Amino acid sequence: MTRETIWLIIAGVAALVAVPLLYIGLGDNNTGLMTIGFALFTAGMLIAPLMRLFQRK
Amino acid sequence: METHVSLTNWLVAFLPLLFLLVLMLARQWGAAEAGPVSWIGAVVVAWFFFDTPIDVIGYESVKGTWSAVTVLYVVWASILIYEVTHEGGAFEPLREGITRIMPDPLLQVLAFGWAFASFLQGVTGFGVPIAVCAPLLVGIGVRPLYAVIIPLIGHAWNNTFGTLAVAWLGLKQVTEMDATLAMQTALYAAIFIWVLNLLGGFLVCWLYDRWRGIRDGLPVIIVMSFLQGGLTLALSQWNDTLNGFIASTVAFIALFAIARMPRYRKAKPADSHIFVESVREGRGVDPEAAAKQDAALSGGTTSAPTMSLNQAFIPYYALLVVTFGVLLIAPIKNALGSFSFGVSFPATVTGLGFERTATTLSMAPMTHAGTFLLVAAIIGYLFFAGMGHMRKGSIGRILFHTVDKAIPSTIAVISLIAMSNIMAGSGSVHVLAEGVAAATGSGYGFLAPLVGGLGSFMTTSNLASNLLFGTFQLSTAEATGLLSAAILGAQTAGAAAGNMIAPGNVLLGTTTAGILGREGEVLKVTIPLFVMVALIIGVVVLLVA
Repeated sequence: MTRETIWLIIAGVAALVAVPLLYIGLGDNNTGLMTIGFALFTAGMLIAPLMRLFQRK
Repeated sequence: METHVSLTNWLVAFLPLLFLLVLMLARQWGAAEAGPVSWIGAVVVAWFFFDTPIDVIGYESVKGTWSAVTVLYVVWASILIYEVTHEGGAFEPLREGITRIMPDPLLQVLAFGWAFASFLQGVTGFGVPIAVCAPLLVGIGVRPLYAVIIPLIGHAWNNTFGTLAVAWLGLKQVTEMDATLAMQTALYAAIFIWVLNLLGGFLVCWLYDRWRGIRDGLPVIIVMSFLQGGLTLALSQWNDTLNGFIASTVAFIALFAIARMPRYRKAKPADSHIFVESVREGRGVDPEAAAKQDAALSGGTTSAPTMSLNQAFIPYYALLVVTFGVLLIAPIKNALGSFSFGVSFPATVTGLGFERTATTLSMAPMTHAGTFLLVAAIIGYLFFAGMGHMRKGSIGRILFHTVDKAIPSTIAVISLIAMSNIMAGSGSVHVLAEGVAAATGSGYGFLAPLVGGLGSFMTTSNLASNLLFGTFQLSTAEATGLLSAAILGAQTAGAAAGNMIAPGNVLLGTTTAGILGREGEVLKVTIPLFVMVALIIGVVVLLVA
């Protein structure tokens, strides 16, 4: 399995793990949980484009 | 809900889509890389320009990911069934069997890229036709780029009434249309779909060999389109669930009869530009490519027992039996469908007053297309293993290749659906659609298929496009005094055509054809073809609406 695939798996898992945190945080008005969920989801989303940019350099 | 529509906020609303288009088409990024950037673009636009609170953005991202999971279940399962067929070495006998029955190379391309792709769309949908047919076309020597483009065009017509008409049923539900309007809309939808179907046949032949391709393929186009489009039209007034399946199955079987016509019975030189050089020069698939193809089609099996065409079809026969066994036998369907789970979302409102009603997104896993594919893959594996076609370590290889192929699609699908949900929740989609309608007035009918296609491009789904734009199309038809049935028919036909440019579908094709990352090149061909098809349907809509 290539390093790129491993990073994409991490990105996918991060996004999927973030979703319940985000949902529960929003439902319970728990700002901390919501922030962690949103940050994790964003990190998951950023991995693939960042990999693309670093590959070019 | 009143969201002011101006040129400025229309252009701002369009920004996330512009990012997606520029990155994929101009920068040649894959959907897995461009999708997340567009998601970030949608978040920024929603937050700064559409005054969307963070909880709305959060809920829409969760909603999008939940919807993506239900789509990804099918994506993963369809890649799994492909990997089982591939590991069992069934693509080679399947390819050999069909090429033996159909020695004419144009007929082979039409068989895999149009008839079989449409048949698979009639049964499963969700990108399976592209995932399966692209490698089959590569196996007969078609260049990978065309192997993706051809089934994208060929299967599009069956997106509305295929997959047991899930997209059509979605349109009926979201617009709450009465029986009369439903009958009229089905009729118009089927007429526009027939246009799409006919154009699909012509386009595949055109890609094959320009005018000579059309001339040589004309009898097939006429017969196939009469069966696919004509039956869809006839059945639209009888049974909307089995419509697409019956039409595509009858046409697929009929193709074997067409292959017996004198003009298609003899092998002809495969000199079309869509074939790899060695095939064009009559040397067959060249040794290096042949080794790759053998590995690609047979999963590296070297001394497996021979397999007949029927045996090679076992996973797909299993898929048919499982799908219809569950969906057509009411007690089984009801029993399995009773188990479901879902997530509830509260009503939301943006700072600009754009409202989204409370909703629950649920999933019945036992009657989900992903489960049918998964069960078919397991049955296929057991049969192939029983026949001695699976080597040691095959399960590990199947799972490894499934993960390897599915993971970029996973990122892409999550980001794209999350993006489209944020755009819908922030009012961006509303602004985009309202802007188009305001600019066109009663001429809107001409653009109605393009709006449907835009929905499919954003969501990779005819169903999702219908859910996204169905009510908007109905309101616009009423506001502009156009015939509602015709506009709704144009919505779903345009959305069906939009599947040829849907990044998720393109991604499945590039993944299984081995050209991952070249999605932009595929879109460079399919976007102009989609626009042409949508405009032709638009002219028809303009005449009847």
